Amino acid sequence: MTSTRSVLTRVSFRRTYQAKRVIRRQRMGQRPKPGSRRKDSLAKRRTQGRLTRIRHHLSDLKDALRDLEEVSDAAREEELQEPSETAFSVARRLIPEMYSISPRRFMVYPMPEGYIAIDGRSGDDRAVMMMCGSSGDARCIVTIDGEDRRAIYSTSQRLPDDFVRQALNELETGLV
Amino acid sequence: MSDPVSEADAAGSAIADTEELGRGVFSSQQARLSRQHGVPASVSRERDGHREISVDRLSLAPIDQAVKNGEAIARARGPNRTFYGWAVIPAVDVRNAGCDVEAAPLADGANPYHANIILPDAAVTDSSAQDQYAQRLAIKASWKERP
Repeated sequence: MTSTRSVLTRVSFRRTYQAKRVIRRQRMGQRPKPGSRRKDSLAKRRTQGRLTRIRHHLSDLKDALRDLEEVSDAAREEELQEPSETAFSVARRLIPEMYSISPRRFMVYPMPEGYIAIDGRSGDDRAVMMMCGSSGDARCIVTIDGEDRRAIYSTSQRLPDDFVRQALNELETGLV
Repeated sequence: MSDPVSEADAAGSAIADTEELGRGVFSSQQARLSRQHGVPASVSRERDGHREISVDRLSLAPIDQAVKNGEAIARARGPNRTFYGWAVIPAVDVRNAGCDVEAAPLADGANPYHANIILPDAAVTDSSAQDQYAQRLAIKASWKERP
């Protein structure tokens, strides 16, 4: 099983590596041109801003994975059916995947009938909720700008699919 | 917010669009997420097949009465249960989400400010539709901490 720490490390490493590579390219490639110093410093500042944002988002991912660790306790407190280990392992895989498509603070919490919800919001009009079922099934419930749609999956192995990706992208952009 | 009205007036009166309806929250995780990030859909999701979502008419109920009602529910649920506050949704947003809302004062005057959000028939037989209504209601809800 993949641990929370290794998932975080993997995503963190990938994102930081990509950003550092951009800085390295700038340093190596843009030196000779006179007058490009201002451009250089602008690009550098932009990249550093991006790095700061990535660090901020990574803490969102970490918080979502921490929510997941509390799901069993929360289910007991709410007198809900406790999700199975299968539901946990699907959620543990999907949280970083969803995060990499749409970096934000996903809320993770138990739902009735042994489901775990991974819930992303944008304002009071957009929400994408992935529900991981105890038998490995899943549901994706979407409300974007007053329009609803949902998809039901008997297995979550191929998730996130195009339906989920489009919904997550629309959290930012609105209906496409 | 309207002035509190007498119990007799509140019981059974029609629910105006401007009224605020409060769904009691008794889970520490739901309360924490509601404070920081938004009301989770689990707050407005009953078990499969349940059509009614129990709420209080916060625009009418005196606040100390509403808190007492919440505490009574927490006590009834078990010794270690806590009442944290409400997920508040305006009646107009409930109706816009495709649900109905009706006054349902509890017998013996236990809670004259009680009301039910009623899900459409489709949600009773289709649990994913029930999830969808829960999501519609949750995104319009805001958090109100108990005093």
